[in-house]
Amino acid sequence: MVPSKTNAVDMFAMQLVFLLSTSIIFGTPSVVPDSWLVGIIAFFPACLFIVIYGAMLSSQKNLGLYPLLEKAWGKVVGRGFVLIYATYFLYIAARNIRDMIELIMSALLRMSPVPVLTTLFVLIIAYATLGGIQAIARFASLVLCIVLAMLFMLAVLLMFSSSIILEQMLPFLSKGIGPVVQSAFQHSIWFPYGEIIVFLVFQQELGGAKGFRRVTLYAFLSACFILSITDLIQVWTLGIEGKKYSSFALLDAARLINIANIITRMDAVIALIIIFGTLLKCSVFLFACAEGLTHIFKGQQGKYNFPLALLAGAFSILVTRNSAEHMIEGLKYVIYTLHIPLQLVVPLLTLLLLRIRYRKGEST
Amino acid sequence: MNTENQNAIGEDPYGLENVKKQFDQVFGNTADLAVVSVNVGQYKGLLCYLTTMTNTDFIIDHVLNDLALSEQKEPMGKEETFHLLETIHYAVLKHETLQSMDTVMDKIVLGKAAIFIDGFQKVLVLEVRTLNSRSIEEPSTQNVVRGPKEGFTESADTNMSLIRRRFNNVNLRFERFELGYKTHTAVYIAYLNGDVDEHILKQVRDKLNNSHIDSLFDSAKIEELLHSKNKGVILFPTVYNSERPDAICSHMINRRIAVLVDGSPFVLIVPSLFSDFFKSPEDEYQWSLIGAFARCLRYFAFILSLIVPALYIAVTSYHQELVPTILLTSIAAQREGIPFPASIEILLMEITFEILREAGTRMPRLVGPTISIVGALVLGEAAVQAGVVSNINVIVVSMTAISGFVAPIYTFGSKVRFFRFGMIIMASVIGLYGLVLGCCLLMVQLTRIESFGVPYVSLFSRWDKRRTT
Repeated sequence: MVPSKTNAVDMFAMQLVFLLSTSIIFGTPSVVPDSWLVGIIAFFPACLFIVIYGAMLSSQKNLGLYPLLEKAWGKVVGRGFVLIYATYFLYIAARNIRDMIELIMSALLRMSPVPVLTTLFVLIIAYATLGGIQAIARFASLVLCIVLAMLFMLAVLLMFSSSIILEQMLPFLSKGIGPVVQSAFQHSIWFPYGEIIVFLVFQQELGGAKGFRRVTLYAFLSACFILSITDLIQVWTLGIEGKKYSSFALLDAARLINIANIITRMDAVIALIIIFGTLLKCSVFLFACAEGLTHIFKGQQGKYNFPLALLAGAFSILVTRNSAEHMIEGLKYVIYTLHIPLQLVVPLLTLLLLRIRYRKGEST
Repeated sequence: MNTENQNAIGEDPYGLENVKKQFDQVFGNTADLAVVSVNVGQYKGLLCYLTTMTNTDFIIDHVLNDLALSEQKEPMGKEETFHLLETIHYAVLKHETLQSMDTVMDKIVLGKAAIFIDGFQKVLVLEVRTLNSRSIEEPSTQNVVRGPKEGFTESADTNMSLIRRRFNNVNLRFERFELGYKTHTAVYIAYLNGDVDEHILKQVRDKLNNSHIDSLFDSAKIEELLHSKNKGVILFPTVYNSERPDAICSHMINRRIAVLVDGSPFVLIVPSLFSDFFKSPEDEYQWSLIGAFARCLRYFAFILSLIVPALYIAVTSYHQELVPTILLTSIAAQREGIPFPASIEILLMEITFEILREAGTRMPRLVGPTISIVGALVLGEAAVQAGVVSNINVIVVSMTAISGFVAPIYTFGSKVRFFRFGMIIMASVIGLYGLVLGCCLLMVQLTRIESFGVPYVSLFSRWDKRRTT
């Protein structure tokens, strides 16, 4: 009786931290005034992902994403898709590293050379992925405790420094519900919720369609709740305008903490929490990417992790020239060219093909 | 060996002269071999044993007296005499009958005596091992205020009896292994049959059976053997050791396997998890809340001993804004006139402390007080007064040092130091970011480790609370 399967709580922790990690610092994109509402509205269409991915898993006896693609599209096209997904995961990992480095550069270290910071970080990511998905899940449960404790502390400290002013969230729905819904569909359901597709890769170790549906639903619910709360805290402390023009709103909110001139400048501490979350998220993506390569090139497990990690680090520096370009790319181009096709269109088509090629009863 | 001799001499290999020759050949002229001619019944016999593994009183009382008794019996055949010895005279002593000479020498080395009858093929081997050993004393590590004061000794027999008398349970099992191809040291594993995980038990047996070590003088070597090495370098111990029978037994209740090595008072426990190293047996003997508080304190001290110096460096040299203004001015005032940057200052004192600690444990006890005087006065006071290091630095280093000794298991505390130096270097190079990366690395390493397939750190699944049915 060696505990080989990840237990449900660890898996839940992994998905929750995964959903929270970068979105908690950037918050919901503040393109509309009532951004906190966007998160709540986005939750409902996001549940569609659970339905689609769950159906994909259950149609073929809980195979992982990569074998599924090969089964649906045939050997050649399927392998092409596996490579595309692997690259996609690597790209998102690189983007997340960049997000975090931007944050570190603006909040903690202004003078340090970026390549050094990135290299150290990606090496730790590679090391984390070498332990396998179960080790990552256990790491996630540690991180979850730290993140939740920190957020709770942040809320309490803000309350004690009387920075929370509820009136700041008014005017409520000044432009009607339309733009809010539009923003939900444009941004929030793809990021972070749609990125959950990466967990399809590890389903054989994580417990199949049934476990996936249940755990992911809980993770979505908790993530939605926590993200909305942090969005609300940002609005209550900074005001609608202040939140709109701040690039790291939660950090700016934390900066307002001042208790008897002793506990001040908590923003640096909050920034550090983000490192844990990003580390986890990038490890999951990198691990998925490495799995894809081992699936295609049949190498030894763990052979690709260090090179891929360094590649992700290099990507993160080369991918855009500056912070503004990085943000725009993330909000506009990535969603239309990568997120929507790879998170929705391809899975839907795959599901359709699977249903057509392997009717119920005559599977495999 | 036997066949060669037989051919060379061409006589009865069990004749006493031949037996003597064989002993001379195998043992050489070792001073502690006793080959004594005795009378067994009306036949001539030979008694062989190592004087160093037993004592003369025991041989006279339990072996020779009984042999003398056998002489008065009326004449009978060799077979009958042998049978009589086996069932009547030596029925109480642990004994066995060997059908040939092959393994007699190995048995004698283990502290047994062999009785030969002239020309008769069977050999009677008696357990005569009586060794002096340290009596049971209070253990020198893991002291408790409340709780049993017995400690393990160097004798595995005593240690096994210390465990057995705590478990009056038919399910307690001891298994014997022999390790070290030069020393043939006895190693025992102890477990509660039924509770323990068969899979883990098999792994332990395999590891012990497949070891290729030449000698074994302390359980530390076994610890090395059992330490999981499958996933890179692991700086955390995955094998628990204790001198306290009550600690070992309370772990065995929780489905662990104990490993006893003859000659070592430290008994090992596998699999061991991270939380085991923060438990003291005393936690269970007092009000549970106090035990829990003590445990939390130990975790806190562990974290302190890891990060305090690094945090000090990071905050004072990179992120002064994190420090409350008044404290910052106070630190700055103290550091005025100090020639070194904070990181060099800390490293200087940390290394000084390490040297002091090493000297303190290795030096003869008589010169002990000298070290504390030199350490406390010269290096502490004088360094501050001379303006080499600042006061706050001494506070930081000594706080770290004391926190480092809170861990109940000494080996655990000693491994933490490696991480501390790593953290100090990271923090000096890239500030808080480096410190957090160090913490990340630590957490990743902790969560990656598995001890015999059991996750080393797992917040939400408790392996030892789950029972097999």
